[in-house]
Amino acid sequence: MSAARRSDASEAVRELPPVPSTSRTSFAELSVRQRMREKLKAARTKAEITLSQEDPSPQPRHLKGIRERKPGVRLDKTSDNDKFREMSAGESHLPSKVKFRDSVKKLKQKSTFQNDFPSEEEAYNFFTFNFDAVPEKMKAGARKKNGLNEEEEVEEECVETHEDEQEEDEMDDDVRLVKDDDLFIGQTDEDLVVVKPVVCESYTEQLKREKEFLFIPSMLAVPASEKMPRNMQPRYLEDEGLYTGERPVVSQSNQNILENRILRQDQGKEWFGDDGKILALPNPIKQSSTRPPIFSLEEGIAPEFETVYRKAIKMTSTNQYFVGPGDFQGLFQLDIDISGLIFTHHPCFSREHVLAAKLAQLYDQYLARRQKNLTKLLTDKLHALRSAVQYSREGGGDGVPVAQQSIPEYKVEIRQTRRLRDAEQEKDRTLLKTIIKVWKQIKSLRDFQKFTNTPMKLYLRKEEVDQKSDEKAYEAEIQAEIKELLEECMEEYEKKMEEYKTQLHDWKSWKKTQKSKKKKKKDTHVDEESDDHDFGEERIKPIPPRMANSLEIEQQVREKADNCRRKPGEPILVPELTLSGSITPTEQCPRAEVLRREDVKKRSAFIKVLFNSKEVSRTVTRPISSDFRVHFGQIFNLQIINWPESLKLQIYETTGMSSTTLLAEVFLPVPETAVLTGTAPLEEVEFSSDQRVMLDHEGVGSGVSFSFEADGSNKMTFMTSGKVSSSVSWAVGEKGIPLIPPVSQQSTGIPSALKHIDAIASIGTSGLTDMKKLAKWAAEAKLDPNDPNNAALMQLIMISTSGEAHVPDFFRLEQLQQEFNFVSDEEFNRSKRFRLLRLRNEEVAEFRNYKQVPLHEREISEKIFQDYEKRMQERDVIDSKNYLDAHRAVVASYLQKVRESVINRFLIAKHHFILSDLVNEEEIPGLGILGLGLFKLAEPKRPLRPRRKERKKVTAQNLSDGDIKLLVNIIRAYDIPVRKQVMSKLQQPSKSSRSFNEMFAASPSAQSQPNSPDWAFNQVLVRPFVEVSFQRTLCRTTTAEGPSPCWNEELELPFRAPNGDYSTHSLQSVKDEVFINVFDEVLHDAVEDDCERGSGIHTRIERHWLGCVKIPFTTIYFQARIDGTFKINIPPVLLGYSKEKNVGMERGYDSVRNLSEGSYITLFITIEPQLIPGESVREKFDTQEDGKLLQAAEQYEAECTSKFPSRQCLTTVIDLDGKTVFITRYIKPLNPPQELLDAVPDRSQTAAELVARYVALIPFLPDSVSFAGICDLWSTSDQFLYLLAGDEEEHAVLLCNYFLGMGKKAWLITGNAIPEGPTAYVLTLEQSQYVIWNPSTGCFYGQYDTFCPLQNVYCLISCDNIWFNMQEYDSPGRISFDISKPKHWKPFFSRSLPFPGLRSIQPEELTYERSDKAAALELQSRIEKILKDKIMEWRPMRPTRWNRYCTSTLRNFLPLLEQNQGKDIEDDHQAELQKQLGDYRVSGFPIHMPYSEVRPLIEAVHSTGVHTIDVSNVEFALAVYIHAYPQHVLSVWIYVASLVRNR
Amino acid sequence: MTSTANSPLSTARTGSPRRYQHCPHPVTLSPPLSLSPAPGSPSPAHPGSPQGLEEGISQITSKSSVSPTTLVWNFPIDITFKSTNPFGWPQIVLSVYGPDFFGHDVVRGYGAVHVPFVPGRHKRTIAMFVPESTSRLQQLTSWFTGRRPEFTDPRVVARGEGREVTRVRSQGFVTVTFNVMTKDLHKLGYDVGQGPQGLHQA
Repeated sequence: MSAARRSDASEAVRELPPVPSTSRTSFAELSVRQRMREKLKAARTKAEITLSQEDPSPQPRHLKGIRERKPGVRLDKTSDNDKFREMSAGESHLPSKVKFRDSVKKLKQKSTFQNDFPSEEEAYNFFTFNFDAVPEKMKAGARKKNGLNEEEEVEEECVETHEDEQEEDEMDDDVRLVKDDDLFIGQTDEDLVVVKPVVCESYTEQLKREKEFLFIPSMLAVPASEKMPRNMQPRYLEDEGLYTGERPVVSQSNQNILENRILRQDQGKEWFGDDGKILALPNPIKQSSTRPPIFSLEEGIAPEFETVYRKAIKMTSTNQYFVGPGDFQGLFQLDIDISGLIFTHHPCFSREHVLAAKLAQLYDQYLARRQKNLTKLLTDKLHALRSAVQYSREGGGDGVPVAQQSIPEYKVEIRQTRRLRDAEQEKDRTLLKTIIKVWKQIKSLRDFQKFTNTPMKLYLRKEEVDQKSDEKAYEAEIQAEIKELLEECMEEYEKKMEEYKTQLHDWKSWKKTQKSKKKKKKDTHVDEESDDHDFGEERIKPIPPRMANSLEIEQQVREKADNCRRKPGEPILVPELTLSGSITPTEQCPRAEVLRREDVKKRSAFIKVLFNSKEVSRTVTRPISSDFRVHFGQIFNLQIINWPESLKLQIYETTGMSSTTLLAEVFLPVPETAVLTGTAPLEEVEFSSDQRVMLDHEGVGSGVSFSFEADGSNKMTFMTSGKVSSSVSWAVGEKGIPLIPPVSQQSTGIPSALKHIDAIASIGTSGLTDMKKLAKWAAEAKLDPNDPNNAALMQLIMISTSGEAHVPDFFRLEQLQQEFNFVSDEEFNRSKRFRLLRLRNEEVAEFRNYKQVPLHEREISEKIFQDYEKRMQERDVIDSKNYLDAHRAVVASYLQKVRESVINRFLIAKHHFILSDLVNEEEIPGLGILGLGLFKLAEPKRPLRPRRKERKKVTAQNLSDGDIKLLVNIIRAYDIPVRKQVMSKLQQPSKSSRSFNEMFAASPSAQSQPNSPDWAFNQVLVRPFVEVSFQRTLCRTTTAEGPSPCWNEELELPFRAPNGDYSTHSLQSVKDEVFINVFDEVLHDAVEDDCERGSGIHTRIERHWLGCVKIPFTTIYFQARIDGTFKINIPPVLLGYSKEKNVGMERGYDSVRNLSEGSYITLFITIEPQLIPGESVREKFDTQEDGKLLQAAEQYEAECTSKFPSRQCLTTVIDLDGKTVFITRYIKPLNPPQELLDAVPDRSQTAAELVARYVALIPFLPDSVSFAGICDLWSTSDQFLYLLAGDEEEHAVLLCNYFLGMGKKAWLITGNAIPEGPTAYVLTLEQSQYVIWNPSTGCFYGQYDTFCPLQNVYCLISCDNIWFNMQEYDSPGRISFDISKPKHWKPFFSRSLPFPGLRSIQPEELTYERSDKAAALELQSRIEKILKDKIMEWRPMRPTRWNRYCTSTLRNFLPLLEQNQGKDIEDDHQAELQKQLGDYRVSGFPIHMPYSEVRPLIEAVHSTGVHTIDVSNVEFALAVYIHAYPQHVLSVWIYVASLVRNR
Repeated sequence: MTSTANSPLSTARTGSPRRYQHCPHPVTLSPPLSLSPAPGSPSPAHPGSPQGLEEGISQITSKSSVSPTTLVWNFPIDITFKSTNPFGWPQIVLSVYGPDFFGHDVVRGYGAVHVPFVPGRHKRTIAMFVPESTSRLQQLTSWFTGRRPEFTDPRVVARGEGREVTRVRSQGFVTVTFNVMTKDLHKLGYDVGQGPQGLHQA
């Protein structure tokens, strides 16, 4: 205690209340101080009294006393305490310091048992008490002791006075005695004061002295032997398998110090455990901090100083049932329904009441038994067992071992059952008997006492039974039993007999030996004693067992049956207890009874409800009715915060006005959380009281014996007892929420254990069911198996691993799903709304963009699902109607399935993200780029030079209908066919035979047609215009003139995505095509009447289709823009039109001649705004390729791309199964259909063309359409031929394989073409000339062909190598195709990496189905009909007449076209037509298409616009011809024509 | 059901105050993830479909001299969502931009928070973060060029998908106060409990 506190405290003694100090002893100190103050007060009064008694001049004595005491003071040297003792001894003489005496006395007392150190109280006393003169004395003493000069007493005096003055202030008012000190100091003698110089102790000395009384424990480790009791080995509990918690971390040195220090103490060894370590509790520190990091919102204030408002909280009780403040959820409510009280015995019961209660009890028992009906049950069982035995016996003849074996078991069972049944029957019967007996007793009692107290009445209902059948059954039962018993007895007998025999045998042998012994004895005279001994062991001859007597048994059985069973023919008695009897009115009763009744009336009862042993409510006091029932019918709603610990009812009885006695206490169970008000049943709780009541009236009292008999025999004693009927349940809140406090989880078992150690966090909830996983986790987590916390878990694991408990060997996926289901699965599936939501979430096409799903079931119409369901149904049903061809239908469904599986794969892949998908990060600029940037700075500025600016790209998801426009810029066209004058002289161009040599002549033949001058003049201008149709929207340019028109017009077409879904995924699968049709606008003079000719012009505009260009939307989408000159697809025959054939008539690979071969149109197509095409999926696919090869391929690709970033290098592709395959495996010589080769056996050039045409006839289906998600799937040639659909790669691969099969040198070219974009072509080497084949059209081009659609060449692929184009240019005309030069073509397999001989994935040989002519014919007529219907449908306003004659002509003509592949027959045909339909103006053309399905045909016909002609007398002709090629490849020709009769 | 969130974007605290001397901070407010591109167009499978603008930019704020690390916008936004289904509850995505040492506008933080569904006044403190550069060198160059890594779409932060590939660094906090009103929530069978001030008006 500090000096400051000392003064503080002493002041406090005076008046101030004790200031609470911050020291840890404050409380103790406070109490000490208080105690001291009280003592002081007591002492003060005492002192005053004594003072008043003592003589008025105590001073001299006082002084004297001090003086006397002095030597004693000097003596004390040992310790303060001794000093005290001395001091007090001395002071005890001082009568004036009586008030001091008390405390001193106390000190003395204390010091007797505390010899070394002052107690706290003493210490306090020492510092706070006003030891009047003692301090001075001590001081003086100390000085004296030092033997110092006393001369300077004056100075000392001054000091003392000063001190005294100080003290004076501090002292109590009442301690007037201090004043004496002044006096005393004034008279001090020199002895008191000692003057000495300042003593300066040297440090070493100080240390030395300190050593005397300070103990510094050593830091060295204490040997274990010292810590342990002698002769004891340290024992390690942990090794013994006991749980020892983790010890808190204490540094070793500290531990050593502590140990050393403790060892010095008495009984220090107690502090050490058996293992020689200091006892320690487990480390209480948690592994992880539970305090969340503080985010300070206020700036500048350290978070820990921030003031935070917290709601006042209640102290959490340690009670487990207490609901913590954290989860206080308002009041909970417990409903206690106390309905009533029934006494089964009461002191006021009359004898009749007692009997009635008994009867009621018996009756209840009877009812309960009847409900259980054990007898019947057991009888049935017995019957069943008997019949089973019977059955197995009969069937047992076959020797079924199982049945045989089970017979004894059955028998045992039968015996047991019979015994049970008999017991039950007996019980039933005795119960019935007792009931009747008691009822008889009641009746006799009522007769005897001549009044009735209870309304009980027992009726015995007789149920008559059929005597005969009953008797029969009875007899049968008895017989069966007898039989069984006999059998049993027989078995028993046999067993005993067996035993007997063995025993007899033994006995006989024994006898024999005895006899022989006797004989021996006789011979040898052995000792008699031993003989006697032997005789003593003489065995009794076993008695043979008695055979059971069947008569005896029968008698037994019958007796028993009589006892416990209803006699045959005896009616079944059914007792019925009613309360319909009348009670004798009080007036008619004898006096004792009247008294009793009055006493009953005086009595009343009530019940107290105690919740957690506190009375919370009580019922009203209700009188006990005459039948000893008390009805309360009260419900108590207890609003509680705590989880109930106990619920108790106390039953009180009041007699008259005064006394209330506690009859009994009944504990009610706290209801389960599932027990809610309304569902809780009333339950009866029995109680009884050991109260002894004796009454002086008819009442029998309780705890008193009484008798029913007149002679007082057969005494009985009853205790007060009864039943409380009540129910306890949890209330249900307004919203139907049960008001149940959350059960504080004290529940034992697995969940709590798991919660503690958080297994869920580490292995997930699913792991909890997987025992192995759990066990593994436990092993990994190094769970201490001895830790009580883990006990439950360890036990669980133990059980599961030892296999004692049943562990399911199946894995339950989402085993918690059940808990989270908000509706049952059935309901979920039934609900339309959930279905809609689910389908939308699954992104099913029909519902992907469904907006605002209605809230209510009724608002969803059934129609929504119709389409979807229809589609689902159709998936499996192959509908040949749509396809007109069974094979196509099969293929289509197969394709659909492949598509779905691939789409699913990609949907999954789509959700795999890599960093660049999410984060935009600038690449570190390389040195090259930096250098380029610098170079650019130095570049001369050319502001006038136009530059293309990149448009802003738009992500697809922000778009909606009308946002996207297709821009088609039509610039110009070349070589449009021109009209022929109808009656003009037919030009018959000379058709020279074509030869291969000619075709591939290096230089163009300078053969020029001599132009007839009139031809030039006769030429009628063509007035072409272009109409673009897209998604049935039409847009046309103005009309230009001449065969080489220039429009330069921009057309804008709106684009609508299917289902309004503008996601990338959906845009990729748009199947629409852009049709660019070239028409000729023809003006006809429509003036009917010649006389009008002068006054007005009346012309009719007709449009004649000349040709078209088709570009799929997906191409535009992926290319972003399409810019170039395209060949117009002009029908082979254009009636009334001719091509300018002035330049060259000869066909060939020559570029000059090719110039005039077709008509061309220059286009620029783009989408506004520019859409970002979807990224290709970077899924890592499965592969069967060698890892090294793939690595090499990657490296090769990387090398190539780094040199020519614009050139795509293709080494691996994905096959139809989604596996990565090396590309060369696709190339393999394959046989073309023999039919084709047979057709033109000699001319390999023609054969090549024919094969190319065959390949081109296989329908084109871009992968992106079928497999949205942009991945190029390559199917093998047989797959391709089976599917009959594929894109450029498949066509190219097949064509290349055919060419190889035909013995040509062929390669696959990958490159860029218009309009397809990246594509694959085929390159062949024909007589030192390279020919490029477009596999999708069947056209071929020379290397230097200007109009070759292939623009860039990237790679060449053969069956054993890949070459990458390393030349500066990549357009076919500017490169060399000589692959032998590695400078130009970088090979994949080279000397460093030789070709490993990769096996092709193509089949060995292709087999073809022969063309089915009949099917083709059928299809032909069907298509014709469909198209005719369509045309009529498109002309709803006018009649459509069909010219049969013309149709048949056209039909005849079409096969010819097919035969000639649409070449060079135009003029013949025209002439013929002209001849036949002389007076008609015919305009029409044949369309040639590969056949895939009907829709494209219809589209094609529609796009020609033949139906749009609206001349009144127009007639139509339509002919369809289908030519079947092997393997269902069909070539479709449609000839449409309109005929107008010439006037 | 509709719910209206009126949320003044009150304050933001930034991680490193030193660099932000007098830096104006624009904020982009991207309302919840994948909402309809524009009114009237097919909407995605999420409840919130606000009418009108979906993205907005707040005014530029600069720090005050009083508290140098706190930036105050007090920028009110009014959004109404309408849905029949609480799946994909709307979120507000904030992206904060501010000029860096060289004056480039760089992203200062992304953050998203669900609009509280309990009616009443709510205060949400959103921890903001930015994607980390993939390497030290990248970090250096991005610091020089002022082209820090950014999310391709700020809505990424409102989605869980793909977030596992990103590494982010936390940068300060933005406090948003919401005043939420709901209509017909209760009628449609959704119980959101009591609001903080008992403003439940279903």
